[in-house]
Amino acid sequence: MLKIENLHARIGDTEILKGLTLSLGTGEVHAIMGPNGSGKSTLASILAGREDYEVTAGSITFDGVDLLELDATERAVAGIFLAFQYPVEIPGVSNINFLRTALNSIREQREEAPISGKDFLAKVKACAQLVELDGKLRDRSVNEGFSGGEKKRNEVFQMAMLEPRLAVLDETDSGLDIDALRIVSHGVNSMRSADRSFLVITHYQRLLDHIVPDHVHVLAGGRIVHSGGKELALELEEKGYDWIVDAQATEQA
Amino acid sequence: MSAAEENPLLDEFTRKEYEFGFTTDIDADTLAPGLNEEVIRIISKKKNEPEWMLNWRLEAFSVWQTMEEPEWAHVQYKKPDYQAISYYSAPKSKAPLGSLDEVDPELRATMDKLGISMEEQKRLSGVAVDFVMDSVSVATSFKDKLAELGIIFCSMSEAIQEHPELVKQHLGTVVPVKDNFFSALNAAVFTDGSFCYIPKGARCPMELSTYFRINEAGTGQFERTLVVAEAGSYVSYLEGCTAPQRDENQLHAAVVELIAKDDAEIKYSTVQNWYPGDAEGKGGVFNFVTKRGICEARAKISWTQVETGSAVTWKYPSCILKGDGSVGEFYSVAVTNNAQQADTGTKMIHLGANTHSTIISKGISAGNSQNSYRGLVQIGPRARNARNFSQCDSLLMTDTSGAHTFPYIETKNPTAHVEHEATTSRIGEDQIFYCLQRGLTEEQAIGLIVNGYAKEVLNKLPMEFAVEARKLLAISLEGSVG
Amino acid sequence: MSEVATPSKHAVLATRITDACSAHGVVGEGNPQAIAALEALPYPTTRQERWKYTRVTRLLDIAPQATPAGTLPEPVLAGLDAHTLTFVAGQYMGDDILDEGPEGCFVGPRSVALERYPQRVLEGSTDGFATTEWFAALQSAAPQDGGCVIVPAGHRLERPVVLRHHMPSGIGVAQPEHLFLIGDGATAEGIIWSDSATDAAGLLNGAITAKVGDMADFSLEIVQDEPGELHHIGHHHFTQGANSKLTVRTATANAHWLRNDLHIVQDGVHADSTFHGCYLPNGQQFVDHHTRIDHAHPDGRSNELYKGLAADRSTAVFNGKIMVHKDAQRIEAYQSNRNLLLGEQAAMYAKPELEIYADDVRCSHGCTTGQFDREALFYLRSRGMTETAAHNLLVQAFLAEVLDGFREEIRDYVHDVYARRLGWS
Repeated sequence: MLKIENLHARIGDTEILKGLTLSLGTGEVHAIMGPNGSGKSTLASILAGREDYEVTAGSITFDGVDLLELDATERAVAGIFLAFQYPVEIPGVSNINFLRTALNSIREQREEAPISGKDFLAKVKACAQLVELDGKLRDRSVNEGFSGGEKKRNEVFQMAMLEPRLAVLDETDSGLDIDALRIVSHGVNSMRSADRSFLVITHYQRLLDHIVPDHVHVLAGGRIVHSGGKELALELEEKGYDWIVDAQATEQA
Repeated sequence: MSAAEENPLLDEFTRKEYEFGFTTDIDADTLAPGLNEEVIRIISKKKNEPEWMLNWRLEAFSVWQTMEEPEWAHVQYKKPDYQAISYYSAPKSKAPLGSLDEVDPELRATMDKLGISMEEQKRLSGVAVDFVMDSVSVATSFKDKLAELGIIFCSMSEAIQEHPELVKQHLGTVVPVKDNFFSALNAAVFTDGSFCYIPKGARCPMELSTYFRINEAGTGQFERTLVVAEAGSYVSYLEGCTAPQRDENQLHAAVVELIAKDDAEIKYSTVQNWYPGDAEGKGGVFNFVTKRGICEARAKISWTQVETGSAVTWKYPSCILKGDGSVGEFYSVAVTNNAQQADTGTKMIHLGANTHSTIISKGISAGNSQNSYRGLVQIGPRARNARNFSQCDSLLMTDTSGAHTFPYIETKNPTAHVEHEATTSRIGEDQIFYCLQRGLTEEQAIGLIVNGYAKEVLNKLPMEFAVEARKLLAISLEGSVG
Repeated sequence: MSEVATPSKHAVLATRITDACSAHGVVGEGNPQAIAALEALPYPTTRQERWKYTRVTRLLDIAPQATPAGTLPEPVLAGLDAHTLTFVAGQYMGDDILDEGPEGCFVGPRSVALERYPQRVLEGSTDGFATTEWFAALQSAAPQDGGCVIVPAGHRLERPVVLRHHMPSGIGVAQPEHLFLIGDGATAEGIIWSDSATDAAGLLNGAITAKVGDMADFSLEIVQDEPGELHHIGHHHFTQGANSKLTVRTATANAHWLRNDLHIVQDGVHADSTFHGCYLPNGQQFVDHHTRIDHAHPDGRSNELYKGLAADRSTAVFNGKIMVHKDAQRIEAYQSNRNLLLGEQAAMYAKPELEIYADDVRCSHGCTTGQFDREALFYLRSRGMTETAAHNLLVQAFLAEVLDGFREEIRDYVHDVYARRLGWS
């Protein structure tokens, strides 16, 4: 479904991704772990189409389509969803209005009819239950005055509403207490299906106790330096990243 | 979704270009350009006015001649040549209009294009409409129904003929002839406008609405609106404005006077979408308007405005809070794009005790435009326990536009409490990206963010207007993020 | 041509003031641009935006009498370890001059600086308001003596400098000019202490100019303590370079009629300005603080806080303008003006302005005028305080936010003046 090959990217004069290659099959859950500053969030931003980053080499295809040719809106329409590490506040715009606009915009671009008010509300209800999102939060302005945990739950709520084909979770566990972590993970897990893939970006292993990945990759110095099964996460938790990063360095030298 | 939201007529507003830039090909009776006593006599005569009205105009004209055009606003424009303007242009009609059916079909078509077809309006929302084209009131709907309640809603010319005592008693009492350069000019040459009288204790059952339109080339529009709400009455009044696209600047210098007697309430809402000129600043309407209301004891006047049009706007809808316990409100969204300039705000003059006022102003600057808030809050020595709260926010869309705030706060009573806050911020790239990631287009994203920003004000508009205004905001700002 | 026109009243005033200053000694030549501006500029009236609330008509009648030979006033800030220069009515009274030679620091009167280091002084001079404001032009046309502080690049002035100006008894006139030249990376602290005899009257039309270099750190405390019936107009002009830090605190302790124009220009990136002020007119006093900051370069920051109260029949004016120029991106500018109105016939005129021509900025201002927090007042009284005691406590608390920023000696002094004037216990 998603194929990233030899991706190089920079912001300003700083090169952040230096030949990243990664492939993700339909229905698979991949975790990307790595030390701070390794380029994890950059990868998430580039997948979603943030224009601050310049891709200098390499390619990304999504279902055979050149993703780099699409702008952020088109990627969302194609089914890519990014759960932001720092969800943005939009004062005066209610969560519900925001979502209905988003949903209908996507449907319009897919040449589908807008969702009826009734269906929309039913869907809101179902999805909100999934992440135990308070009714009040649905009516409040997008992310405004939300706690850290509420923001992350709101991200997963939006994901459930928009039903993406590929969901990229950027450090969704950061700033969550254990209860919120459980709720968010439950939301994600119940969305796992044979035709939906997940790219879970995290610094800590604990999220992967809840969202069990099929594959784990280590991102360091702008490249995937090591890949393995779900047990790799535990190994990383125990030994840190240095052994892989060092081994990689030795290998390169 | 409300019925109004699905109203196909209002979809007119979703078009990208300045949609109202058509001219109506109607045989118009237009006076040669120029201004002198003779012209004023002709206007007065054409309108078959009584002598007191003519004298009032002539006096205004002599005052105007001694006055100078104000220069203190934060706007730059080439002053109009007042001798190059035609001061009277009326659609020719053979006889006074008896009913809507007698209205010129071309004119009806114009109204339809504006989305204010009276039939539709009647059917959909029960809004009574007075339609002023160039200078003359063309038709007023729902008159009979209102008459049952003793409410008078008619054109100003008609009011001068039919209700001279009411007009004489109130005209110029809130905005005196000498008030300023433009109000003096208006007093001398105004050709029509709306008159509205709500008798004691009456609650006007429907929104009253006026649509203003400048049509003839080289004409000015000088309408005069007078709303009198007797003790304990209530009225909500709407005003919409459009003008065709023309290369030269057109002048609009209106005067609006509101009188709210004891315990009365007047809500006055404006959606101003005069032609703003093209992207280079050619053409567009000069909107130099004086709007002021006076509140007697416990009365309330609420101004709500959505300003998206005009090349230059100079406008300060104000409240004189004369009576104890009276309330003034001003809610404004002003959008400037391309080369537009706006200097707008309000004056809250607290004279009585326990008077309260609220000012919420949201400016949005895009393109190369300049957008200024200018407001005065004045607490007089007798205004014990007066309260004011002002919030003036500016949103900047480009680094080539300007956002300015010039509040004047004058307090002469120690029991008063006055609070003013202002912030300036930029439309956030991260906000837009967040929306894009959720599948919104950039235009939708900007529309959504801007409407969210202006929500406090838009919520004050009557329903039908709010929908229109939201769309207008989005259209005005399309493709404007720097 | 008609016969010689009668000179305008303000031209007559200008001649009178210039003559009086010259008689007592001006320093250097009058600034030619200022002399030209003085003739060209109109005399301020309330029709001009910047003078809307400030009437200067009665200043036209000021007729200075011969100033008696100055005697040294009682010292101020006696306990403070500082270089102190004393001036009386625009004349240097001789104290300690610090002169480290052409490459070092100089602290002394401008008259001496001009003799010893004309080049250094001229390089640092700016016109400030002299070509745009009538009274500033008047000052600059006949400038008198004042302090001159030169701190070369990289130097640090160990002790603070006190520039003290005293107006003696009688109807006098003085146009002192103080100059601070703080080089790149230099550090200095200054205090300008302006006071008067209790029966002083006339006009004090003074200028303070400071040029603060890149990476420099300069802080200035201005104390205005002028009983009597003096009219004081202050032209305070600051320019600061990239990455510099400027702090200006102004305490108007006592003033019969005062107008301050404070203008800060950020002439480099990452400049940081803090300017605070407090005022407390009572009786029929008039105090007007006009401030303006120009963010002319990106990444600057400014913080403005002016607080005051107007008692009895007095009038206070505050005008603060934040100007963000085109391309001055990522500016953070905050302005706050808080006022208490205590007198039935007191008046407060506030005009906090923003003028913004860049988009990536965070600017805000807040302005309030009101009276005491009733809840707080009630709380204090319920704890046994008299109404007066509670009032006083609340006024002190209100002013503390500004006053606490001053050095202790000044804070206490200004506090005492306020306490005496308003009869606090």
